[in-house]
Amino acid sequence: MPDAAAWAKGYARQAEADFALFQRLQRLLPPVNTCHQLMFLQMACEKLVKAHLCGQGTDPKSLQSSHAFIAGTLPVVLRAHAIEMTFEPRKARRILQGAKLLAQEIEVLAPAVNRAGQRPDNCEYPWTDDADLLHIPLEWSFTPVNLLEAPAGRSILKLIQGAIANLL
Amino acid sequence: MRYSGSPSIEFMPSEPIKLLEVNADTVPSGVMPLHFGPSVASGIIFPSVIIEVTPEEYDKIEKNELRLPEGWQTSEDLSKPNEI
Repeated sequence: MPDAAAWAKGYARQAEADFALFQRLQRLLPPVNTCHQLMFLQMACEKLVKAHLCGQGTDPKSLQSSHAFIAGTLPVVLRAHAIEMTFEPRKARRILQGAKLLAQEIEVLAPAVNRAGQRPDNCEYPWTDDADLLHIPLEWSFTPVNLLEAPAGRSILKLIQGAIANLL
Repeated sequence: MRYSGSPSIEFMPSEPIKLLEVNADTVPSGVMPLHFGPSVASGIIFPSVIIEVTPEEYDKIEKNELRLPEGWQTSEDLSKPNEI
């Protein structure tokens, strides 16, 4: 029976592959749909936090039935990695504030996470809004794109990539 | 600072624009290329790859203590102009 360390490594390896695919999709022309790009970023982040939680002793079985771990745990993981990289606290604080907001937005990209119906927007399936208008991911303007293009976005992506590499 | 690969590949539209950005506020994590897709709304119609490093890391790159990816060579300095 695999122990928590084996699960952590397994999640980390899958996170690395998901992040690499997210990055490869950025390179393609004609451009890949934003919803598909972000789907792999969401998947990478979810597996990163699950790898971290397994490494901290969380029962792997308790992690398998939910996608809602990113908003709470990703900022913790990235803060720990920033400290490890001896990132100056004053600078890190600004980046990590952005990471907290980004983590909340990445979490709701999963269709199963909708904040009690308040955030039905997601990367995979159509949804309707309060006015009963139909929206589809292909045409939706996703908030994480703006956050990633902001000055702190690159540092956040570096922290995500570095944190994944640390767990391998 | 703009970097280029070999002339034979740089003319291809699919070849990303290569940028090395020295940023005192970024996390020190070595040479970590990040790919970004075109952002037509922002006027960026080609994919890009950005390596963001701290000034200390850039010093190491200049001393060959940190290596850039294969094929990256200096093309053009895109430093911000001095403030007036």
